[in-house]
Amino acid sequence: MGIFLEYTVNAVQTGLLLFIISSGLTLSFGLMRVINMAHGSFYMVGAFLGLQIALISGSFLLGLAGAAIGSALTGLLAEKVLFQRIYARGPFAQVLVSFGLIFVFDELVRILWGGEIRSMPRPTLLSDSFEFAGAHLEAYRLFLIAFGGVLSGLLLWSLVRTPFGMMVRAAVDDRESAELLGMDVRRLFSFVFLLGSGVAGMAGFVAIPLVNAFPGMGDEVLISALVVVVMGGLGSVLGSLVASMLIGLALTLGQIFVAGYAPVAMYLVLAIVLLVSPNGLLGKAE
Amino acid sequence: MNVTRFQIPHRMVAISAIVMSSLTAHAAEDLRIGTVLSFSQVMGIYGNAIMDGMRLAVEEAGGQVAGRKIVFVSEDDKNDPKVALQLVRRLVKDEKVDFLVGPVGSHIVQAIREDVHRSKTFLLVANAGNDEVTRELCSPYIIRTSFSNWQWNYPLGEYAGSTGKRAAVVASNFVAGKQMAAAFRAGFESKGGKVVEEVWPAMGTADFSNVFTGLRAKESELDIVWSFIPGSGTVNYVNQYAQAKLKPINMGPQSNADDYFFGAMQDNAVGVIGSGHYVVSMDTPRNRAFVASFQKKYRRMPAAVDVQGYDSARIIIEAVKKLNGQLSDKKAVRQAMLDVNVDSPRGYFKIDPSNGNVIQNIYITKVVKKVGGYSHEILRTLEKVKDPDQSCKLEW
Repeated sequence: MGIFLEYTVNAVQTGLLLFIISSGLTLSFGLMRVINMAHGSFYMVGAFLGLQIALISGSFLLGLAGAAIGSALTGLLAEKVLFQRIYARGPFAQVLVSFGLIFVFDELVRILWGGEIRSMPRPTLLSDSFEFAGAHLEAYRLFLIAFGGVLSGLLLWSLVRTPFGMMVRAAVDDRESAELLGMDVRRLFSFVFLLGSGVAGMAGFVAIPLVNAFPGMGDEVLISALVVVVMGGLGSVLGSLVASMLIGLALTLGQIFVAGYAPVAMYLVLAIVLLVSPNGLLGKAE
Repeated sequence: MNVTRFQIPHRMVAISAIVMSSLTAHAAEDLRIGTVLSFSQVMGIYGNAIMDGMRLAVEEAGGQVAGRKIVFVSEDDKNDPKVALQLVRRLVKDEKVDFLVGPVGSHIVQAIREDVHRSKTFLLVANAGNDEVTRELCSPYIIRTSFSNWQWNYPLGEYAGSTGKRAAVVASNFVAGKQMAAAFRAGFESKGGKVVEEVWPAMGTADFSNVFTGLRAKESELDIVWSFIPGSGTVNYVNQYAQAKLKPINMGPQSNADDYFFGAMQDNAVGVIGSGHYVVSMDTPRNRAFVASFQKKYRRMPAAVDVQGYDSARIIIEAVKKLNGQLSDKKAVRQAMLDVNVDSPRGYFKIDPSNGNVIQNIYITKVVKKVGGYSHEILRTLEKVKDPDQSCKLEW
């Protein structure tokens, strides 16, 4: 029983972290059909900025805030300077430019912070672990679940309930009509990009105590995030959530039963989902 | 927009100037060292370290040997055997390098072995510990300056057998993980130990929580958890092992709690038992001098991988010096590389003429916390460890 609970905690935590990383990618993909390969870089930028602020201030919360604001602004800057110029140019230009951006960010981080792997201890309040129902539970992983849960809830709620969310959904569903109705989709998109980068940056920061920060850390999560976006259905945030949880579960099951090939579990689930539903879990046919 | 159009011809001129200068430089008989190393992803840190070590040796030699300027042709093999193979082909055919240095990964050296052998270009293996490359797949053109997977882990297994009886092995699921685990098991079982659990996480695994959950279920049966997780993953492994508060001794090659990672591991590394061929704290005049000049150049402490790069370049430099820059007689080149005194910071260093693998001391170590940082304390020294395997048949 204890071991089952531990595995469940691991799976849920992996899934939720994956969701907050990929939610921004889902929205930008769904909204503007823009393929942003550099999304993982915002995850990395958030991690490094947050780490620096946390080290200076000694405060985890300040670090988290710094990660969110810093990566959001970096995302906004990239959108205004680069992406706005390539929306009309189709997927090839977008992939090339954003792929190039990965190298720019990796190298910038290397110049600013050096190439070594950096870590951060868990905040004192969350550094404990305890026994519960025969399971060994780490407070920090439970915090990640709570953090991911609240953030996901807020995101879904704001998409369903707020005027902003309604505009986003309208624009994802039918961009032309939304524009005809007088919505400024470009500005809306800038805001979504800012939000998505900020959330990814927070994910990067809270992930440091588990997987550390190093130049190139974003490349590792990019692939999983792309899988989530495709599996969930382009533009569907709820679909991404379901997809992330499925992948978390698949990776955990994979690590238990076929550890050496666990990453394959992710693609296996993707393949099955796409065979059954070619538009992803909750995506609409184009 | 017009500005960009005007700039293009200038850039083209600049690029062609660079191309021309590199072409003319080639004509002047430089000593060209091609590297097949990983500079990115999980193994990136090792590729950069090997380059740092080599550059220091070249600098100490005044940038040249026997009148030939030393130049590196280095590119990223991306830890991918296919990329590495193409890189080797290009380096020997188009770039016409005199020596190859690399690779980092055991799976890479296996992939390029055949092409290296056929190209008759000498390869100095500066990291990859793949046992087979100095056993059944050995070649007179391959010399290893680093270590073999057996060399680290068999002695560690023997040591482990004297401290505990039941162990789990956790290793990245690729050729080095398999070989190291097998060598550890052989040494451990020779002293009456028993491996009761095996886990093979995929290469690139970042979160080991499920591995530790699985181990916890068997915790009461275990004295030791031996592991080998290369690259950035090992930091996560060691940190998460400590945070999971597992009781068995955390043990593995010294690269697990490598000097590079102390900053990121902090107290989590304390107590980790390792096995390796170089400890930066070794108090010999040669090592003190090496550490001082390394620190002066790079403003960081060297570690084993830096020494591997350094010694690889040192063998090349000393051999070329001995041959007065004449490298056409391949047998003479190999003999020179076997004969030269490298004066390695690690201490005893000799290339085994029968298989090309390095003979060296192996140190069993434990990470301790000291004023100003962490270091590997030597628990046991095994002198002049030589791979006893006899399956190498050198064929030119």
